[in-house]
Amino acid sequence: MAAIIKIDAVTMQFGGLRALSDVNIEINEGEIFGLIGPNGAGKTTLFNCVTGVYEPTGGSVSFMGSSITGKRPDQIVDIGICRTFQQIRLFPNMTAMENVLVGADARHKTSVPGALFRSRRFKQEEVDGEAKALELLDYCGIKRFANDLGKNLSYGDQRRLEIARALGTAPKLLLLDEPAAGMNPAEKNSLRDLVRKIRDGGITVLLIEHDMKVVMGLSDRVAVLDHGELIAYGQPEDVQKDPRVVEAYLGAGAGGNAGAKTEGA
Amino acid sequence: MSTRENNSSNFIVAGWEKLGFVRYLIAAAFMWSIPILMDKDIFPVLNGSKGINILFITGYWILLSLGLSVVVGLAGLLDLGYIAFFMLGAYTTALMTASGGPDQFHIVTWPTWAALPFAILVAMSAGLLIGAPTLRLRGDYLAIVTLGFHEIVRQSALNLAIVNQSRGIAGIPNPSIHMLGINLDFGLENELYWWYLLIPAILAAVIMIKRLDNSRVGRYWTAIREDEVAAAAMGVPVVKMKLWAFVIGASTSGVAGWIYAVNISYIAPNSFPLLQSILVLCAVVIGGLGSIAGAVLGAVLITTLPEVVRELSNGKEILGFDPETGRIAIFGLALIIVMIYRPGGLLAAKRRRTELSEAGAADAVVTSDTTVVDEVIDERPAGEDEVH
Amino acid sequence: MPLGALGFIVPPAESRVHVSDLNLWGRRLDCNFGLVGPTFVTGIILGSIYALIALGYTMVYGVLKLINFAHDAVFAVGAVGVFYIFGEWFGITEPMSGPGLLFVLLASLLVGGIVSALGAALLERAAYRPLRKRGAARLSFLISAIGASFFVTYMMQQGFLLGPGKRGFPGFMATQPAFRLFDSTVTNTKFLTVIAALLCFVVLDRFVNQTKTGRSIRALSEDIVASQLMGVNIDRVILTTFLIGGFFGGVAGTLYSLQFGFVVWNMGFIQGLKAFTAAVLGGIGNIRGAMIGGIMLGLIENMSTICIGAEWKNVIAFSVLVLVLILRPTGLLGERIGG
Repeated sequence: MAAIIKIDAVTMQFGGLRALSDVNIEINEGEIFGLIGPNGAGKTTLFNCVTGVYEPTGGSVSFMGSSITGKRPDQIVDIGICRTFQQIRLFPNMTAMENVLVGADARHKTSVPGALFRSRRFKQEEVDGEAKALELLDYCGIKRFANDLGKNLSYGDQRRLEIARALGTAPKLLLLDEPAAGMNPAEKNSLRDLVRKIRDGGITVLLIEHDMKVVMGLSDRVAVLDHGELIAYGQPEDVQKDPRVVEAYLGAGAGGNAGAKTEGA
Repeated sequence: MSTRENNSSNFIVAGWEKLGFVRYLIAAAFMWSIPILMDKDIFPVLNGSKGINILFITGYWILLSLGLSVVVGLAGLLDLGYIAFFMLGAYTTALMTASGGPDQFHIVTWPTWAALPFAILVAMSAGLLIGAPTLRLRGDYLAIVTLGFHEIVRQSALNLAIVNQSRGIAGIPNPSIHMLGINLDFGLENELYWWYLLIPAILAAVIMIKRLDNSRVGRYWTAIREDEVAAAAMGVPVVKMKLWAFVIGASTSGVAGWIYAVNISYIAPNSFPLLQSILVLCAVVIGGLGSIAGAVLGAVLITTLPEVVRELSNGKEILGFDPETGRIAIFGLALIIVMIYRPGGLLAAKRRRTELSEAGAADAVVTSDTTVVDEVIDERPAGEDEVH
Repeated sequence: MPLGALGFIVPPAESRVHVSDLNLWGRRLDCNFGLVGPTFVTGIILGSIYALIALGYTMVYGVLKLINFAHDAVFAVGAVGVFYIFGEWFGITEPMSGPGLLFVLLASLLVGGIVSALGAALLERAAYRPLRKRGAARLSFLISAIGASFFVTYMMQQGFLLGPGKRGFPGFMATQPAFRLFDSTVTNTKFLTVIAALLCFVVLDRFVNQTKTGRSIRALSEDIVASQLMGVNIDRVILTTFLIGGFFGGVAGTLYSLQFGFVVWNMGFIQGLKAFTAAVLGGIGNIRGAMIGGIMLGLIENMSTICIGAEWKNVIAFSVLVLVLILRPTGLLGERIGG
């Protein structure tokens, strides 16, 4: 499997605070890659560096062979990477359908002239967009909410909607930031199925998740961050047993080991 | 403004939408008949020549209001200097036609109609010019910059001999049509023609806005309003879209500037005070953000209400209140009341109302995650979950 | 003052230098460098007023991260208050001297400050607080502020208040030349303005850095959530911020009217905009920045008349505004409210 994205010695410094230090990760095409670590470890910061929200103070990120360091978030989407947010950021007063349409619009080209003069491309894209949006809503299991406002969906369905919207951009790499947060076990199971379905459909997935069961069950490989540093990297079973990982989690009060019962597991 | 908003069981609205293009013909017919209705005293105190004049003023105010509605209502950008575009459109018209004295500076002296596309172009270019460096600024800053821009344009006109400084430019020719057997001279004698000229302009603006709203462009604007960070993360080219809003919004003011200039035939810097920018904003906000009906209503309120009051009071002061300037105080008060009790205005699109009354994550005023640097400089504001 | 020693810095009044290679759009700039002295003095004086008004913008911004659009009305209201109270009601309009003058002077500044402070508090209560309680979007605050500003300003234009023209400010302080500095005559009122502004800044700076309330204000400006957790009463601190900013705005208004001799319904507007420019120039949210920004704007605006005609002053000021916001929005000193 080829590496689809290379995070190369990425460092992120905010004034006196070093959020990321020399992080090196390679994710292969078609895998589900888990990113874990205690609170404050820098996982979301890494996401932000990859998606253009931050420009890394050191190191580089390359996607499919070309550098994407320092590009703007909307350019990143164009290149084929999309993300969801840890705290859901839907468009609350737009319907589910409209939310996904915005995602799908990333692959459309109609701009002001096309919309004004009702060009053929505009009409085609509107039709395609609606079809695609419905299809994605269905894919994520929320088709029946198509005409409901984003803010009126249940929490779990909102998370699915965020994923559906991101899928609308036809990404090659999908970044999920704690998609299972706040879900009950049943919802987590169906989320796991959804993520597998997405990967099986050809999209590489990088996911941040706190819930060990979810992450270990899903991921082909895992990386562990602690205080901005990469402390372990590899197969889930090996990483779990790594003493540094155990210490990082036990030290922070969050559980990590397969058998241990600690809070936050 | 979305037509697919709620599954509205509002039969009337649904039925109206189904009419399609016929709607515009009906609207045109209605607008055509307004002067006739006015003549029959259907509207209070607005009859005769005076009434037609008010109608004309309301007409180009509707154009201004619609344009600003795109900027403020659709894209959510607070523009406090919108009239600068109006002014530039008017001055372009004056400088391109046979206006003023023999030593008056002219770019060219072309027939009046020829100046129209250029007025539009200049207004739109100004939108691009002022927008490009400033649209990455956060809302309040953008508002102040646009205010500053208006004053810079106006004060420059006051001081530049090229445009005759404070004396302004007079003698802008009225347009006329002499072809295909039609002989129309727009002027003082045929006042109604001015209104008839406005009808297609207004309808064109309405069609333009509707088409944009129900397209990828409109969705992107809404997304930007709702959550700019999330929009960018979904591939929306935020700055580019904001620029488009500015440019499209400026286009109607270019038309309005042309019509104003060729009607009144005399323009001067003091015809375009900052106050007017604020009043157009009042019209858009009070009438209803994000809705065409709201923009129209706002324009009508701002222009006709004071006239009606003045007629009714016979031009005298009411309780020491000068209707001319007092109305502005009242509009100011109305802005506050509307923002508190009915954000989004009288006829706001439902979506817009809830947007304004519930601040989004990055938009709330009393919050801990706002820093000047991130939001003012960066096109990419810090995500709320920065260091995790 | 040993002006002779300064003679080598300040060219004599009659030196008119044609700088023929200074070209602005192909026109030769006619710079009169003899004006350096007088324009410098004027710049400092007017700049002091900008600085005082700027305080109102900068403090509210520091705490609410919001531009207090209606501050221009607050500034005007103080001067108008003194106009009514001292002029219309108590009829103190004849020039005074000695300790009587001092007393009336201080009283007028105090009254102006208090009236404006009250106005600012009322503004906060009526136009901002309801929106805060409703969690309204930022745009709503801005629009509401604009509404408030226009309401107050245009009410003042009505016949039963100031009316459309300039009204003479109570003349208890007759303008008299005090001393000469850099080839210009500094009058007593002008001198007073600068001294008062300086004093106000020193007082405020100490207040913000050394008192408990001042610390609360600074805390709020850095992190509202944390401040709340530390037990800071947000509503009270915000109100205090408005009161303080308003007070200094009122002092500025009174000084302005003392110097120029009039009040007028729209006196707040241009001053407000320029003061805002000053606040941004120095670093919005930063009190010392407000002072520095004010002085700098005063100097830029006035000293530009050395080469460019005075009618362009406003354009210069607004251009500074636009340029600062585009090129360096954090201003010269950045946005920390304390020193």
